[in-house]
Amino acid sequence: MDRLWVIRFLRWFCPQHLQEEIEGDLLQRFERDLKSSDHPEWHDDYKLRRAKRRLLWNTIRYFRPGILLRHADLQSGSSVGLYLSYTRSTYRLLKKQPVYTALNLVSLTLGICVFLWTTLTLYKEWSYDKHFKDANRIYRVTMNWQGESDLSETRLGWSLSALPEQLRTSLAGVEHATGLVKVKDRVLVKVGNTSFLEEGYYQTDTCYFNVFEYKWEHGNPNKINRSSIVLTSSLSKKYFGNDSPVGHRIEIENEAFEVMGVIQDVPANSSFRFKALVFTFDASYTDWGFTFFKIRPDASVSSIGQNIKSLFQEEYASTLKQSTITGSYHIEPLMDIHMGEYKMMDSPKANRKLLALVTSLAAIILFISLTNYSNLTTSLADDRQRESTIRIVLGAAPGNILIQSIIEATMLSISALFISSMIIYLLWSALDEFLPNAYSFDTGHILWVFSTIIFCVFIVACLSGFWSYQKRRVVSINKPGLFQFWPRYHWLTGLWMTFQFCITLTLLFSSRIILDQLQEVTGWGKDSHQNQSLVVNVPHQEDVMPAVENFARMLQQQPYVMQASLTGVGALPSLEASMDIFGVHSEWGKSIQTLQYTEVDATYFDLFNLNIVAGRPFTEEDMGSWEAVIVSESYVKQQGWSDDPLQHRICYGGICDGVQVVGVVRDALFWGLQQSERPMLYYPLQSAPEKLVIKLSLFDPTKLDEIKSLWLGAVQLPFDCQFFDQYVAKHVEKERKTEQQISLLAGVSILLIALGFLGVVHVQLTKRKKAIALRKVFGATLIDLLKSGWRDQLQFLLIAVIVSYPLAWLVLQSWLAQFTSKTSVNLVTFLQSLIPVAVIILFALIYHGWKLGRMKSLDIIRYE
Amino acid sequence: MAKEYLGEFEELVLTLVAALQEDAYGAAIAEEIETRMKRDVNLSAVHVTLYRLEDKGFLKSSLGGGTNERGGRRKRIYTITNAGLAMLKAMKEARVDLWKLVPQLKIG
Repeated sequence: MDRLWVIRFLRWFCPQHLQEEIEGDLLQRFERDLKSSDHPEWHDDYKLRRAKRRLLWNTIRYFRPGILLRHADLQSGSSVGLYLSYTRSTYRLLKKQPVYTALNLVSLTLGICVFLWTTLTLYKEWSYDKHFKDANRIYRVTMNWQGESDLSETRLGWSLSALPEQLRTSLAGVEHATGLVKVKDRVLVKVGNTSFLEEGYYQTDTCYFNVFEYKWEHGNPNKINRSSIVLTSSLSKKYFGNDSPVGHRIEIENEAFEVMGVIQDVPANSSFRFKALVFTFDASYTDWGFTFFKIRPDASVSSIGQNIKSLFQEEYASTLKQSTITGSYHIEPLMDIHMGEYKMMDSPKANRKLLALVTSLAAIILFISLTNYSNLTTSLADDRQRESTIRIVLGAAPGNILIQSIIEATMLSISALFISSMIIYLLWSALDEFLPNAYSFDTGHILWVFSTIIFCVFIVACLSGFWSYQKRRVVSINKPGLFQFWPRYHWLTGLWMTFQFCITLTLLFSSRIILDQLQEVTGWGKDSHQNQSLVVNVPHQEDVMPAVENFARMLQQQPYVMQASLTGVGALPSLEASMDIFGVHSEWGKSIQTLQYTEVDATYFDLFNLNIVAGRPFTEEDMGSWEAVIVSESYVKQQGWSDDPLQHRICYGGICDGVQVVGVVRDALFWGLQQSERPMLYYPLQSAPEKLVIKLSLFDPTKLDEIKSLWLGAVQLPFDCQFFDQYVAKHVEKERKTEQQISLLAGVSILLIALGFLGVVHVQLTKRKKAIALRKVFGATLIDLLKSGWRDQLQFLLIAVIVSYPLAWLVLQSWLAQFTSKTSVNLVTFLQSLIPVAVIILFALIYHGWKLGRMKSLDIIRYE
Repeated sequence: MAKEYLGEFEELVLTLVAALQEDAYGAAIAEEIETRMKRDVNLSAVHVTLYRLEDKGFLKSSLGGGTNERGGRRKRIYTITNAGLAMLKAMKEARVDLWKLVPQLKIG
């Protein structure tokens, strides 16, 4: 048995004509070793083992150039010469058919560009938080809870602020633990005599740099204390220029901090992109925050997870149970946070659904470009048949024809890959927001992507080449279809074209619906608020409230101001709006639910164009106390209230009988695709307002300056404002980017199919010019020629419409089912996706007609 | 055309092919080298040398008979060509000439 596999190995690499003698000599030597009488003391078993060992060793030593290079096709360099000859003839062939080559090259380049770009985007999203040292040992604690009547669990990215300290002291497997939370959305910062309103200020504790490592430009992490602040490089430059800021004092919301260091800017692929860190995080300062911990190298993650759950049960479970709420802590690896499930109060996430969607679209585009290539190659197969059959008759091996088509595909794909790589390299650095130092490519990944592309092109080339090879085996020189009045497409070309139509129509139809749905779920504030609703941040200082109210009154008197509305807790719609526990009275009795709420004044709904669909809006009499509540439409749907919603009562805190529902308001659609709509409760404004929303009658930049000077005169604090449509745009930035990507992909697919169409028309025109010329001479009109030429293509299109639309419609219906608010799919949507294809066909038709018109029939058939 | 030269191992193999006559094949040549020269030799090296000598035109080969010991596989029997013999002769003469230049030991 042992000898058998050794011999098989020899046969694998040894040239066939040498195998018999070498095998014989090896076996003869094996037998001699077995019968060796040199050492009579050796046992037979040992002799056998030794002989086998020597046989193996002797065989392996045949794996050498002196043997390998004796393969017949490698000898005398004839094979290399043959491949060089193929390459030369392929180059000549491609040069001879510039339109064919250009169409293929552009088509492949487009497909590969899209695929490369999407792969890079995907890779960028996967790279989040992986740059930290020991990232695989860092975890985050999250919290889940569920009220008695909650339909689903509420998942929170935060945990209680006492947790980091508990982890440090009570769990042996935890090496370090730290807490992190944003100080505020915007903080008032005073450096010297200059004030700034800044975003990106986070508070943490002094253990932060034990968990996360950063590169320090100035200062020392070991000297940090509670009154320290650490700046990022760009913020330090903004405040202090190129000087070292260490030792300088900065006031944040009237509290003084000493700059203790400067770290490099946080990499763009980091979940927490802060600009400055203060070290005041503890249970006395904040109730909630992110908790991160690093485990020891030898610690068990599962046992630490269990211990953290037990910690929660011991500390809080009994308190929560009184409110009929159950909950627990969970741990989540740092590297999974960005791609993980969205939680309340979470860091910005990648949208997995959209990524999957865009990646699939990119793969389809690559596929379309490959079908274009295949389509053109098979269309040309007839044309090249004469040349190939002559070669076969003259002695070329049939397989050589296949090799040549593979060489052609390889040359085209490598050229396309090179051009695409250059384009992507330039575009990536020009368009992407990522800093060059934050993002480095892994050679392994690049090789993987490149080899995938080459592999795809290679497979298609093999298939197309195999088809051409099959066709060229006919040892007769075919007549070039002189009396075949119009090219009947070969079944393979027809199949490719139908397939390509199917894919493109599905892609265009799906893109249209996805874009409509994106508009549907993110459309709020886009049209009616365009440059008209100004949102001013109200400082969190009680003593400025009279001044703000005074400012609001002054605004009401301005002719260009239509309305001014003050809003409180969770002032603007947000994924991170405030949540709390509410008791809901319904016909089934009282239930406990976790709900999102906000406080608004009487003009809020009117200002934001949120229609009241039942009941009434708030009045001035409602303000100042929680004695009325308005619920959103999705809340009514979620509760399944079939009777009058205004009969229900919702209670909060000490108000045990609950507050009457006085109205139902339309949903504010801004959630994006990341999660479904969340029911909302609106209460009258009672606490200090957070935002002042001003609706202008028309947009005029000079009025903005007027409002600013009024603010500075009345409130005497920095004026911080943004337009509401900009706020919503920022909120749905990822969805907007996806919209752009999908539109771009749809555009590329249209371009690709146009190229494919032109290619086929061009090839057919070249191939059939004699037949067309004859028909023209015999009196065929342009319309006759076009009619016969396009009959097949329109049939392909019709088949594609019949196959692709119902299929795409079914798939999209199931996708749309997850949304409460859906876009409507109607005839217009169908037509919108058909129009680009119709335009392409029209364009190709005109091109075709133009070429036919210019054709000089007599010149073509003069020598026949 | 450049003159062909033989390496030491090539010369050894060529000489043995000439000496073994009808019994000159890979395994036998390797065995002869081991027995007569007391030198460990690898079968693959012998084969590669034989092929090279055949390429140079110093040897020609034909398939012989198979034996049970060889699992029925036939031997490739090598025979020296006139060119091979001439080369061996030329090399021997060149060595003898060189040897004559070396002062001989005088006994007594």
